[in-house]
Amino acid sequence: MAGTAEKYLKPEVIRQVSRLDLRARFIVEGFIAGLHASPFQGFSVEFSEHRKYSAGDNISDIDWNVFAKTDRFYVKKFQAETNLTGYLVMDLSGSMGYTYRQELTKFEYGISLAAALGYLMIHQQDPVGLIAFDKQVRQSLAPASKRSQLGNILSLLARLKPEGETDLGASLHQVAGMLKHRSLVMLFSDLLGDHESILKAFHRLRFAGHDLIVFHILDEAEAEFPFEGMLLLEDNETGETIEVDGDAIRADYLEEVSRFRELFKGDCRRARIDYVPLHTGVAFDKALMSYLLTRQARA
Amino acid sequence: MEMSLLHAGLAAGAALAAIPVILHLFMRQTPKHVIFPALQLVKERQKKTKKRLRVKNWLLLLARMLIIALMALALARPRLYSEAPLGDESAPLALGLVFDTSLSMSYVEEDKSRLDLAKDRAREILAKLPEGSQVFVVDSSTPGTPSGLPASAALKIIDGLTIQPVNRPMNAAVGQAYAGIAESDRPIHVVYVLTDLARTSWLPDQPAEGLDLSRKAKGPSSKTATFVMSLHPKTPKDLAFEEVQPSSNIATDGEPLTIKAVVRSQGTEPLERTVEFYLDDQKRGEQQVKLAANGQAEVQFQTPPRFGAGAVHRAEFRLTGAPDPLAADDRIYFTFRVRPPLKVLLVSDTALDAEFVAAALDSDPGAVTRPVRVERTRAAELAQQHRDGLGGYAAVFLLNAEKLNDAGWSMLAQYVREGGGLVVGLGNRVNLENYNASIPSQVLPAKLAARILAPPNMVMGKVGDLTHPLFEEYGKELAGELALVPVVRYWKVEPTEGASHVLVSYSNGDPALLERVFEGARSGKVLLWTTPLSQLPTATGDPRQNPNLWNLFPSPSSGWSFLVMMDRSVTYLAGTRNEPLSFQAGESAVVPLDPQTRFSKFLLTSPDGKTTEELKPSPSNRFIEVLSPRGIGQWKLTAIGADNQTQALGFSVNPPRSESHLAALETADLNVIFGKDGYQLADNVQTFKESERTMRFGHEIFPWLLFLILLVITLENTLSNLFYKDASRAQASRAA
Repeated sequence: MAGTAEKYLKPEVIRQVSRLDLRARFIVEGFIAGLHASPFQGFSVEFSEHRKYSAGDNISDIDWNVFAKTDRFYVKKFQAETNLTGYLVMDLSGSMGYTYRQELTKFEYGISLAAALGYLMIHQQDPVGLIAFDKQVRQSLAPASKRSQLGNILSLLARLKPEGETDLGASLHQVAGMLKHRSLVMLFSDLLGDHESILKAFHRLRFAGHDLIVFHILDEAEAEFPFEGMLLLEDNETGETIEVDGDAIRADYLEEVSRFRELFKGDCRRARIDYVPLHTGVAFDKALMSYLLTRQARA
Repeated sequence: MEMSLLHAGLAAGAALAAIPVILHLFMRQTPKHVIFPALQLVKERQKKTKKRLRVKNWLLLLARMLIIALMALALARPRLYSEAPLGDESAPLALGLVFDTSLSMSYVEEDKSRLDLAKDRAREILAKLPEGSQVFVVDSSTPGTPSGLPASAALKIIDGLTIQPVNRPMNAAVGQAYAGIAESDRPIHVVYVLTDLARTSWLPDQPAEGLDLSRKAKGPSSKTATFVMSLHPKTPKDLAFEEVQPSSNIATDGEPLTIKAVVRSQGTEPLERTVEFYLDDQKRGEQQVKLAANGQAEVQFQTPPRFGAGAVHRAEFRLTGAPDPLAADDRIYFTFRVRPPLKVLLVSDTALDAEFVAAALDSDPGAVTRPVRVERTRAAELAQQHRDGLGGYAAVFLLNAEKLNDAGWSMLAQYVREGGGLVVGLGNRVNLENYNASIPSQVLPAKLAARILAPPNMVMGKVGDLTHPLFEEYGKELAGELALVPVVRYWKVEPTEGASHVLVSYSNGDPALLERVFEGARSGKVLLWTTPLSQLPTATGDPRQNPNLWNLFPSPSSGWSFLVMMDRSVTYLAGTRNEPLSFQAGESAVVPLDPQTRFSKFLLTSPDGKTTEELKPSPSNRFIEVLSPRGIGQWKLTAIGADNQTQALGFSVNPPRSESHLAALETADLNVIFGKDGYQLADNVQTFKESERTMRFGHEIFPWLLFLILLVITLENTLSNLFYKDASRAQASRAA
């Protein structure tokens, strides 16, 4: 298992990510709580620890009992204030197992991203859970912030094999029902499904107060369409085939892909969902870094 | 436009255009099987683009087929012909050579006349004529359908061609050539027209004769190809005598003759030249003329007053001072006769009736010079006294004679039918029945109706035709004078319908002077005054009560109209103005003869003195006619009498005035003459050879086809780039 975990936790990725002063710089709403006050303050009443008062803290948080005993200002910290539960939600559909170049499948690409993000959260002592679905939720792992949690997540993911058809909308509705607290939901999917039902599921998650980041992963071939000549294209989920002239439809196809992404991008922006379009030809570490920096700048 | 292929077999290669279709239909590529999860995106788009793709594919297919077909066509080397193709150079021809031999072809430029150039071109054409060809040589002066000759015989005819003063329109000459070669069985029919294209040599608004023959020639070539070689000078320059205007065609002995000539310049530069005047080959004067560009000037010379009466004289104008490219019109000739005074016979019953006319015509019978000599005779004695006829008189006046016997009227009738001139003045003595009898009715222009007492204040009023020779000079002034002549009595007449016309009428509209013309070699004329040409003595008092008073025409109180009318009547009736001895080339020359002298034969000598022809006299012996004399210059005519006495006569022939007009035909005119696509025009040797080559081999359209292929390839490339390369570009931009 450790080997499997290492496969996804590439040392160079970890090194890169670690170099960031996450505490100081990743003050990202709902992602990693920094040194500043959490925007989810008061969300939970479970006491966690005391901390020395520093300028900027709300004076109503000063624990006067401690002041009486020690003559120093301490503020009380609560569980939800410091930690955010994250869920890595993986699409297990057959289409996610596709790779044209025979390198990383979309699923494996998603796992790599999930591993990096899981590592980050656990490193911040934030609990992370895992949910994998195809037509319905197949596997789940309760959130925990233990060091061993990442290993558990990765070994579970390594056992999963993306195959068969999927129903993204229904599955996400199911996920929404499973989440009890406000959580950070990180979805890894190619979003190849009924757009309307997917969008409804997104909205449900948002209405439930969850924060949602959609990592839209396409294969490099799906994003670039490098094919030439006559092609018999087959959908590996449904087995449906279609004959096309690769050269002739390339431009139109790329336009359609762009329109597809733009559609989700617009919908997500309106629903205050982070939408991260990716394809397997882009190094996932760079993609992740780019996203995190963008998010940091936005904060 | 017709098309032919040099390598027709290669055109079959156009069938290869089917290759793209075959490839498209039967050699379809086996599609590559690719797993592609994002199929829904492909499906979405393909619905929209399937139709468009199909159109694009067919367009590309079409472009590729077109490229192959055009390549095959280009290799077959197609040619376009606007006329019948002449084919290769070895096929025997029926060749028509039409030469313009009009005077304008004598125009010299660079030491060569247009005719010389035409001959050069013809020799070049004949030099490369294939074996077995027939040549039909036509020149514009010789009528008749030519016969086909071998090249060597044709060459001899061409060498002998000369400029001719008389030519038919080139339309007719071309028609002769078409008619000639239409009968030839040679496979290829060609006509070369060698001309300076001077408008005056053609009928620009009429098609060439025999054009229909040229379009249905015998033999494999269904049409006759026509080449027009323009030999028109580049910048025509010419000085020419436009016309010669004598004061009279016949001089009267003792009176000088004034001869004017008009000189015209064609060209863009002002010129100064000398006009020399020759009389009977002796120089009698010269004048300098200054001519503006395209301008004209007039010169005038006079003959001496006493100058060999009874003889024919030759006048000539010459332009000198510098050489002129067109020398044929630098001289102009004029022949005139100086004849003795005209003899006029006055016929009347009383001396008084003839007195006024005699005084008007021959006022001084004792004078040395008498242009008109008057003789008198009594009416009753006319036939008796002039048994030999009245041929010796220039005019006969019948003045207020009561009657003539049949012999007298017959004599007058014969006289006018032979070209004599009769003036009849009616009056108080005239017997109506006698004048209305059958013989006089054949002579007089009207029948007498009644004596009329004119309304008060009636005058001799309106002149009917001011262009009539009687009124040619000072006509208006003369009409004004006549309107002042009071008329008291006159004969009302009924003009002979269709045979007479009224020259002067009274103020009430009744005829005063009528004319009847008898057409013939010389026109006989009868003038009838319906009021007397004399004035009887009258008592004073009311003129209307005085039966002797008819008018005051002869009276000096009525002005000068009587004198002028009598004088003009004699010269007019004597034919002084209508007997010119100068003609244009092509006209028939009519030379009047002395009717009192019988000639047995005539010898006609051409201006160059090289040819002499014998002519027979006409039955009337009043004139001799020479049909279309061809030589330009002074012709000599020697009349030989029965007793071998000779009389020198002659006439002049000048170049047709139109030959000096060098304006060329326009393309629109040629289109009318030959049809729009019915000819090839060339104006120099180079273009002539090119147009011949074009006619022979057609227009090579290979370069145009290549250009078209290039265009289609570019189109095909553009289409395929547009259809297939967009994707690559999009990919590249994404990668960037």
